Amino acid sequence: MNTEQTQNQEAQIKPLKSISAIWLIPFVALLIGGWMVYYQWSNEGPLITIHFESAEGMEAGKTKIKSRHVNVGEVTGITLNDGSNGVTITARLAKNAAHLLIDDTEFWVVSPQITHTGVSGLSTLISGVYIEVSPGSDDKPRTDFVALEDPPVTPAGTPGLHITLNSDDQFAYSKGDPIIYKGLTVGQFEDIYFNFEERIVYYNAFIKAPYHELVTSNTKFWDVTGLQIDLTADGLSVNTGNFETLLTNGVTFDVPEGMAHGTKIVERTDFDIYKDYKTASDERYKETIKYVVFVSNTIRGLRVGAPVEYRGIHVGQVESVDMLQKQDKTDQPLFTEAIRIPILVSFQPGRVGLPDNAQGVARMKQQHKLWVKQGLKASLKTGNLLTGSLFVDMQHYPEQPVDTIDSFGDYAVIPTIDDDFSQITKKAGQFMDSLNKLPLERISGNANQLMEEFTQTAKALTDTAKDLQGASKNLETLLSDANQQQVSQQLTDALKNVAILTRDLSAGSTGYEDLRKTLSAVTQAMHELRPLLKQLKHQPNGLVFDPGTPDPIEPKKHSGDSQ
Amino acid sequence: MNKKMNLAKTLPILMLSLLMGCAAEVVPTTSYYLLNSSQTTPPAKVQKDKIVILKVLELPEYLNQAQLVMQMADHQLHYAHFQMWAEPLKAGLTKALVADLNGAQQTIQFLPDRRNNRLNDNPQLHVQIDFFHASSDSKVTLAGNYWYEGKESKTEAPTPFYIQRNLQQDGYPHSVSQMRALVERLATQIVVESRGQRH
Repeated sequence: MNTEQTQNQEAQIKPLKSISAIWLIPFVALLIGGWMVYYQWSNEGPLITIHFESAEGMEAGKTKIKSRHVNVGEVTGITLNDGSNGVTITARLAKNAAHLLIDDTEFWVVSPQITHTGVSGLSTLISGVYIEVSPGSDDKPRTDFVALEDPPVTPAGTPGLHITLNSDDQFAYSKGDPIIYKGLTVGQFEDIYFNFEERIVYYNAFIKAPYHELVTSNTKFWDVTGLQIDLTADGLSVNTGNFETLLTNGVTFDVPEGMAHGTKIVERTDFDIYKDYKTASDERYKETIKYVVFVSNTIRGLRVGAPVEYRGIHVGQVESVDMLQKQDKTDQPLFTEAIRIPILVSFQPGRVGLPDNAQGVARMKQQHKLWVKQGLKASLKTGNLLTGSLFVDMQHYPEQPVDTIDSFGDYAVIPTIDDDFSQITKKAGQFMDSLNKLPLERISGNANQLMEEFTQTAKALTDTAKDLQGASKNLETLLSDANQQQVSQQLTDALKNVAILTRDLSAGSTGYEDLRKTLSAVTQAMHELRPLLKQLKHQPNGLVFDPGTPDPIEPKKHSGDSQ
Repeated sequence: MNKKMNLAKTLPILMLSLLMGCAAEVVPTTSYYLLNSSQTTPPAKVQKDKIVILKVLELPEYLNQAQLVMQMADHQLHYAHFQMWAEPLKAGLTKALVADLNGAQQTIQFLPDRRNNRLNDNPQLHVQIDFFHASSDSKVTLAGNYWYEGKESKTEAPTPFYIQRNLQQDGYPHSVSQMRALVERLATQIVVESRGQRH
């Protein structure tokens, strides 16, 4: 029965109602993987490309990108440009560094560098080079950059003032050269640009805060490279910036003494670099009046910039000493004005307290016109006897007034008077003329007559002298006899004294015996002392301590003899 | 208290014993010797042409000092520390030789060479001493040469002499007396040999 029942019961096949629980495992794994992908994707920083000239020292997967020594990314790939004119670095930045990717952000490679301004990047000798990023301040995003060839002298965002200096003189500054204010290094040259059209070198420089406040519209820059020794009409002057500029080039700046500071500079402005403070200081005067001075003597020693003085007051300077070369060659002024050399001088109203504007110029012109008519003259004078440098001196000569004022080209002419040397030469010439006018022939005739009379007198004197000579001979003979007798007596006395002395010192004499006894005593003393000296030599402490046993060595009797 | 008493007793005893130790030390004394000790009678005055001047030349450097010399080996000398000549050996030797020469004969008078004797024209007897000292083999030695220099600077050939005596006693005093005896024998030898040459 049971068997039948069992056979009648067939297996019931039921369809699977749900998914097996085992499938949860791959599902969870999928979720985790997806989450990881999402996490990676969501936290991944931006991919950027940077163009370098060379990938020296860089390796994909190793070279880091740093900002202020903090890792912000890593180089992921290095590829050579199609034209082989550089390399393109692909780098992945951290997500939190995405804000660095703006238009004026700068990238450069940090590697060991030794320059005159210092040593940097030494840590990369061990760790390898890295790419430094300097964030900019722009708002425009950017992912493709061109790296700087060299690290920027001034990091972006440094507070201060960017200025442009220019010079057409023989100065040469290089990147990193200092800008000095009263001995302090307050800035430096950043880069150099040469304008081929103007033939002027422009230097971008940076004055760091807070010293950038010192740069105003009236600020002048001048060169303080090395040691500047200047021998001028004012004497010898030695200038230097600071110790750094003794070794490198450098410029300094300031507002010239007595000049207003001017307005504050807030944006990049151009400034000239002058060769020294004096030149820079002179540049403060905007208004000048120019005159021509004709010199009849040599102008050797007169330099451009030499002072023009009015009674010792510096009122202007020499602008040009080679006006002849600058004139139109067709006029041939050197030949037409051969005996006078034109010198261009300038007067600055600002130097004498007049306003530095058209009004001051007008007043000065008017005054000069009046003075020239009343006898104002210019002359070249030696400012320094050592260097022979000259300056232009203005003096009043009321006895030499002029009616009209000449002109040379566009410039009025200030009359000149000879300089000191010329005046001496002229006076010497006048003296020689006076000498020539003397009645020398008549004086010569009188002199001849005088000489004849003198000859006759001399003859008479000669006769008298002969008589005197005879008398002198007799006197000399007399004196000679007397002298011989006296000398003979003195010699006899001296020989007697010598004989006495010899007798005293001869053998058997008392003196000799005394001497002999003394020497004998000394010899004896030396004989006595000799053993002692020998003992002391053998035993230096023998005087104090026991000198030892008596001498054991003595002659012994012959063994064959009996006593 | 007892310690102090002991110290007071022992310290003087200690110092006394030290002083006695010093006193017991034999302090050597220096002895001085004279080669020509006996007072010789001056010879009778003779004629000038019977006078011979004795010239003892300079002694060797090792003898020309105050200490007595003793030869220890062939090439080794010893200078006595406390045995000294009372006068320079050259002077003593000259005096002794002159005395012995004059004592050995009566015909000629020998005189020491002195600067003021004004006998430069007289014959001269030159004696050159090479050895004159005691030795460790108990002998005293006198060796050298002598020669005459007659008038007109005629010089005879040097005659060598080498005289030795044995020492019969120990000590330097005996050696000095034996050295003196050597000088006497030299004088006798010179006189005898001089007579033989003349004959």
